[in-house]
Amino acid sequence: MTTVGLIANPLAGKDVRRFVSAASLNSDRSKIEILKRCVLGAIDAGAEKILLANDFRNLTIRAVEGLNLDGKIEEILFHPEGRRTDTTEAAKIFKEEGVKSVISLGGDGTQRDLVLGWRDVPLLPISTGTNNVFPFMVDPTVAGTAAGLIASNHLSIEEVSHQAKVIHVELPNGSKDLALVDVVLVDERLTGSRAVIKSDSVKQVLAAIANPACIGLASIAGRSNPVYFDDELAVSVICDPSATESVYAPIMPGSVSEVGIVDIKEVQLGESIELNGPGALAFDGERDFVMGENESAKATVLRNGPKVINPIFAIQTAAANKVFLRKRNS
Amino acid sequence: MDITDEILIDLYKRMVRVRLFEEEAGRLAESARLPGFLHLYVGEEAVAAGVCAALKNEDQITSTHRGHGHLLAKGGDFNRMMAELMGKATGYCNGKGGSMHICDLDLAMLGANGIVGAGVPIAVGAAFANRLTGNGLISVSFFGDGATNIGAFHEAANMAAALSLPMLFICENNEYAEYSPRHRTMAITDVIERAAAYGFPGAIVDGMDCVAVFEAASLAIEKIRSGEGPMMLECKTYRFYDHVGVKGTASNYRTDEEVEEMKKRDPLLVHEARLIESGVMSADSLQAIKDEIQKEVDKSVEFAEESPFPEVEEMLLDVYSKREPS
Repeated sequence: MTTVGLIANPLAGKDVRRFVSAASLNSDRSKIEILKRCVLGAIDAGAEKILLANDFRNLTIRAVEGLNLDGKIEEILFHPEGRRTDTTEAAKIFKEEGVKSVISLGGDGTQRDLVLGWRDVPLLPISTGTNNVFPFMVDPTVAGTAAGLIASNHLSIEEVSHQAKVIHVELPNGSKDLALVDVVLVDERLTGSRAVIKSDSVKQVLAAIANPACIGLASIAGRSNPVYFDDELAVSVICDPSATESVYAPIMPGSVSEVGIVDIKEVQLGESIELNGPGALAFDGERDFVMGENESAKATVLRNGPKVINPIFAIQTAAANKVFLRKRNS
Repeated sequence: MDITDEILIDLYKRMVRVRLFEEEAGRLAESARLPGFLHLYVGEEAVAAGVCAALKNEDQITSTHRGHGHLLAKGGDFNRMMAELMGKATGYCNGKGGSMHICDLDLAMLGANGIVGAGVPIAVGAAFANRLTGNGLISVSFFGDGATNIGAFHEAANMAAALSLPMLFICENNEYAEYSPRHRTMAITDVIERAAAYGFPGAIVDGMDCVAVFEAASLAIEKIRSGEGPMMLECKTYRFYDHVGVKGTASNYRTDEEVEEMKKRDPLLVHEARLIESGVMSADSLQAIKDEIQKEVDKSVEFAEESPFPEVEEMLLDVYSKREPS
């Protein structure tokens, strides 16, 4: 069965950064419209089935209401609880079901949660978050079409995707975690509302993608020493408010801060980097783990992450292959 | 704002004050020692504690029909509160208001309110006064998700936005408007979308975590005080007891399993674990705080039971405030 998986994080783009930056609200309604366009694009491109990961807001279910696609829509057996782990659990089911491509709506944090459940997922991430380094800002009809072309074997995943890097982190308590864009050590003792807001709290940034044109903590690294998606490198930046050198970086939408820079180091894939406590570790922008005085985490960047489908390149490849030209019934 | 040990302990004490008082009130109501309706706030303590800890004492708040938590988290007096619940003359409203009309102007608590949504425009009025007098204060309205389906909310939100008033809207979204699940009464799931409709920012926070609420409220309050206009913080929370009383008359609108699942995220347990893990307090010292506050609660029951009922002649007093002609 040529199946596209579809999932959306209802809470993406709604956190406290709306109080302290120019971040906009990503409403449920707009997400539903995006999902609807993805579904229509995918079906048009030949997907035989859309597998919906329901969420606790019923966004995906509401998106297909009235589309008359009976027989082509299926829900996975899954009971969302309104937590981050919903995304991770849904990803595991997508993998078990053998879906050919997954469209995921959210920001960097959402894509990370998905990859925690299926590390090398064939993924077309669409940005509906606050910081969107990893997902694409793309018309959803185009994105749906690209995912549908892969599911229906009009395009091969190898042809139009690139495998992403992953920052693998071993935490002091022995557990493991990962990030797709950045792991940041901040001078905080609590996870609190999770978002990192104070630029002078940043102590260290380890970024697998450090694009100077991005928004978020990775922009500190991106504007210091760019490292792109395809580069076989990562970058570690040590920060201190009292440093003699600084960089101006938009750590939130519309919010450019001066961050003191002590040291910049390029990191090879496979090389391990220590992040030493005390402080909180933020994974893809969200504080998730607190380390004490003598604790440290070990981070290693490897290229073994999701196979990220570039929707524009996919559509262009399909057009070059004359995939969209069809014979008319006479 | 840096969250110090003192703030972490203060948040805990505020929540424990609400929890132990309310548990006692629930027991009294069950044993028919406390008359009238009782809408318990148990489960939602992190919201009142987190927001009130971020306010100045003089900042005004308005409350809901589930209002004990807001007054207690702002520093309300156990004796006067318990006496009011029992309808005694020593209570906050001289025993004539009861649970749903408790107020304390000395704490800038402008009143609980028996009418759903009716507290919101009162807070707008206070915010307007703050603006006109330039006193630097803000007003806060606590309201539920169901209240945002009421006209008063919409008029209040529009006026606060149009006049760019210093006001913080706190939506306590516990997913049920009395006995109706949110999805049966609203086509949206996040109330902050209504803030966006009126043109002011809103954000969602975990309402079961007092630190997350405190941090988010502090960020909003700083902006509002500096003149950026109203904001809305939506706290995703849950009430552990029924709409009315401990176990009400219409308990088939949600499952026991759902309630038990949410109790795993009890805001007190979440914060206790944090305090112990971070070495701020030991389990013994947490228990000592609880024991001390329980004693105060017990004393308030004695005080209330020993207090007299108001005289019949006082029935029509306090209906209107005394005001000299200007």
